[in-house]
Amino acid sequence: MEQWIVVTIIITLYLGLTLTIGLLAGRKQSDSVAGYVAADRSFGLLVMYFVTGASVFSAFAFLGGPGWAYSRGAAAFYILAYGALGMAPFYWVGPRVAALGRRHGFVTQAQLITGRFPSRNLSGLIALLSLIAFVPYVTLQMRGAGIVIEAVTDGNVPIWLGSAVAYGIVIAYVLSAGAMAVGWTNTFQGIFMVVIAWSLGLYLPNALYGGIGEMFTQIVAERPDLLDPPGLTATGEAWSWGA
Amino acid sequence: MSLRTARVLAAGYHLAMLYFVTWPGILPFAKAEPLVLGLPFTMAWIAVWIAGSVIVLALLDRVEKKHRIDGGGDA
Repeated sequence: MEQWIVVTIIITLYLGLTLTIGLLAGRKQSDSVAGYVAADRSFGLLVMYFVTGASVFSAFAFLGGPGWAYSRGAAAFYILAYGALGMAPFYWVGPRVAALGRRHGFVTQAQLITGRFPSRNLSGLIALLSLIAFVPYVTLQMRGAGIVIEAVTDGNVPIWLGSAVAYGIVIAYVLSAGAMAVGWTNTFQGIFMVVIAWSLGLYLPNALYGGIGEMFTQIVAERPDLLDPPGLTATGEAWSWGA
Repeated sequence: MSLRTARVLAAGYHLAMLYFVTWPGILPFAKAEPLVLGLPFTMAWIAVWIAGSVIVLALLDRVEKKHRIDGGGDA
């Protein structure tokens, strides 16, 4: 059997497993708005960890991030910094928002803000902004999935088809099962991503260069400009801090 | 330690982190060599701040648990 057919079968099995987890998870939540949108506010440490992680690590984590590191070197270090620093404020904000949500029954940002500043126009504006802000983010994920599927099937599955199938499955379990499905599929795919990222990140430098330190030593020797912060510009010139 | 002190210290750590991993606080540490545990110096510098963030938030959580009444939400 041709390799791209084997790869397509594996992708189909993976997407099928994700769909099954999503649909099964959704059966655990109550038949209410809080159940559908906030999974009955029941996420524990494990699921909340991966839901939070999924809001930082999008298709960018597997495509754009490594691409930046490869083409622009030290410029990619900022990804490490914002991954941790960007989420830290939620340690303060998150519990307060969760407590207000429990007390008043809020399930969206718009409800939370109009609970504090009562205005129907403000509520509509926040809801609209939330939707608009998600459009580029969701588009990025759809294209990311399509690009990956096209690449690993040697172009036999075009971007539009890969995107349509991958996102069709997401839409199927989100519409039918709500936030509980998102929580558990995020957890499944998050564990998958963490295992693969660490495995490849440790295996490839060892297999190709004989170790992570050895890899960076060779990069410093051959392309010192890559590791000299803040890295390179899009055209490969040495970048400046802009000051 | 009081809850307020712990929160101020943890917030202070993250503000210091914000300064030292971005411009201009990172400038004295923005260099490829020496490698630290095999990582370029700047990457190791940022990794140390991230590891510190994990420890600081875990300690803050310990203090908060002592002061928490209802088990969930905000004390």
